Amino acid sequence: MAPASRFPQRARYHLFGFLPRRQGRRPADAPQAHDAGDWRERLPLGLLILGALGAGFVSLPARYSLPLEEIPHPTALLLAQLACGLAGIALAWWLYQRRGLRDAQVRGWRAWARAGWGFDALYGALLVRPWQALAEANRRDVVDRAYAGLAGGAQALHRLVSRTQTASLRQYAQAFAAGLILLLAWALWQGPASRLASEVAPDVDSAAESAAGSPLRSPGGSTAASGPGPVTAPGTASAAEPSAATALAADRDTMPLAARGAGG
Amino acid sequence: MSALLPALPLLLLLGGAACALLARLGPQLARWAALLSLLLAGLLLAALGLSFELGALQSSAAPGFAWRWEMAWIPRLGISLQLGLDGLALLLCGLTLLLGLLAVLASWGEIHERVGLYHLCLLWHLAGVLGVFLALDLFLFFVCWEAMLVPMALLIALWGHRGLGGRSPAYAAIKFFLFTQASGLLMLAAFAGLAWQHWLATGSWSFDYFALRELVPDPAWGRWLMLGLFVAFAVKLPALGGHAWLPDAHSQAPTAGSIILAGVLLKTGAYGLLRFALPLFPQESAWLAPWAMALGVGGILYGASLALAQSDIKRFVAYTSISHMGFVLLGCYALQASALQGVVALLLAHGLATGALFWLCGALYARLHSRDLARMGGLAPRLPRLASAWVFFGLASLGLPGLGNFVGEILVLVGSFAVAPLAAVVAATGMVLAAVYGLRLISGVLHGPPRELGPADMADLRGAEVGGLLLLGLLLLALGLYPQPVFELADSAVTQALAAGGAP
Repeated sequence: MAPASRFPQRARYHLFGFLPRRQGRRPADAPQAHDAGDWRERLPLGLLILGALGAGFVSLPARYSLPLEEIPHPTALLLAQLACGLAGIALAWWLYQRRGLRDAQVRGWRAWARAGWGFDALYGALLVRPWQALAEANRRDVVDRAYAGLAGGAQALHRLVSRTQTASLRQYAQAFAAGLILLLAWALWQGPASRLASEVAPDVDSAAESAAGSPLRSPGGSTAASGPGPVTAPGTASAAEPSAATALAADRDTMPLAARGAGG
Repeated sequence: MSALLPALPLLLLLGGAACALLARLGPQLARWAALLSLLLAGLLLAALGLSFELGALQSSAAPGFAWRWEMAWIPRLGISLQLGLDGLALLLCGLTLLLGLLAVLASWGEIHERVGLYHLCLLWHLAGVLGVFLALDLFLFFVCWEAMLVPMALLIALWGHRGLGGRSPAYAAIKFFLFTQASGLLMLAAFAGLAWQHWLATGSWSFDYFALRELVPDPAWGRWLMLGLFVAFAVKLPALGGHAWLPDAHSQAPTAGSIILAGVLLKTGAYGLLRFALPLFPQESAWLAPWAMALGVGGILYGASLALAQSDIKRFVAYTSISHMGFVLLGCYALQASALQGVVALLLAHGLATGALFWLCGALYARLHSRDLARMGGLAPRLPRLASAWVFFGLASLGLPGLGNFVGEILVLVGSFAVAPLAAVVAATGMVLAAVYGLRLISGVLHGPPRELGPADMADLRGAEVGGLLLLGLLLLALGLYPQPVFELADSAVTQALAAGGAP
């Protein structure tokens, strides 16, 4: 038990105290080192020593894990194995004796070895810090932000539209009139073409298979330009802006309108 | 015996009404009424469960359903009140009632305003959840789905806390409502589409689960209908992308609300996938599987990453839920029996462990009046019992072998490794990340130098709290050490989910 005193108990860590958090690695008020003096400490250690010694003599039947095969054991190999083990112990002892060195004196590969061959730093650079940075960068959850943006957009739209709700009848009438004028203008100038697009264009595909006898579908597509419409259209295809009268007349009777529009 | 099935949700509905009435005489009466009706429902379920025959009626039209109850409702549209209890439903109903009991206990010292209305909302919500787990008529399922939504939104809005950046409880409640409602409408559209497909095929409408399971929908429509269902359940689960409601709702709800949200409500999404999305659309699900698994893996990593950056402990636990539900999604769409068994085990274990963690969060908040992780620390010597429970459930949540979560996660990984090795490998890193956030959660609250936060003479956990947590801990341990009964109970549902055409 003599070496136990050479390994001072640095601190009584909590179960998970090894995770550093803002605080240093070691509590400042670490208890003083002491030997395993109490029987409550000696008894389990003694049992463990006995157990460890005894475990060495337990011969596990290899047939459970290894193939049943005779493997030659050259004496030189066995001796080399033994020497390696002893050399390792000797090296450890030698290093252990030089433990008196202060931290500042440990340089070169020893410092590197003492730092765990740099594995902590490697993991830190490769895994821990990138992950932490990623988590930190996305603290506010970019998916949530996207939904919040959607909600914000809807709210902005709501505010925009609710500005028109002034309760002023005059403004409502103005907006109503302006809207009506725009709507009428659109209906007069663009209406025929767009109506045509919605009524005739979807039928182009089906026109081929559907009965050609239908008066509405027969002029379908570009063929309408060559063939004369069933009813003579008042305006010609070259007229860029049909007058309101022709448009209204066309409105009453969509069929010639379709024929004329298709020509244009 | 089958007539007892509708009594389960009805008991809670009546119990809720009784709470609201009795609260006029005194708040304590309402609490006892809630506890009593939950206990009665629990006894009822136990009676049903004890007379349960495993593998009952394997050859019948409803294999695995030991108890069924049916009553005509809207015959013209093929809608009936149809309930059924199989092993999966039994497990999840049991979890619901257990966590419901604990939720009432957790509210005992926390809720002092409008106690009657509070317990009414709680019990009616749980009645809706029971209806979801029992319904075998798709329309009834949808009705229950919506019925459990409103009381929970009220719980959050009326008794909730302020959240991140001063967000009001109403914000969280409305967000929760909108997400679930919008995705629920997609589900209704998908159900109606299925009934319509049934009409096209047979000339009659039907919302009957078993009739629709036999139906092979038109391939042109099948994918859209399946996607409607998938989105509804994926938002509830939640999967990555539909999860935005969860951190707000979980962190701002009162303690009981958080317990129920995490422990029970998320399970309805997974249950929907297991019971409806997979068996009703086997081919379409196989088509979706790679994408859904990718979404699951993404959720695992995303939740784990965001959990680490949270300073609010309830938000922290909420994001770990997203990570765990990623495992559930991955397991569901691995379309493997072992993965689906793992999903069921994980659902139960997550309900127990996360429910307990939210309870402890509530206990911490009651003592410290703060949920800020940065201001906690050093609580282990001050609250030894709470600290032990926190360590235990924290370890359970990070998937310590021997506890339930580990069984679920490892089965999901084993099952999905068989079909998608890459997804399983990436998902397995999620277990490492779980250790990272789990240990940070534990040590951040308990270890380090003692802080001034909270009064000097804080009371540790009391008898009822210790008892409830001990029960949860023992159940987790049982699930972790001997999960076989759960596998046997869930077996018929798992077989049915895969029978129709998934991978063997």
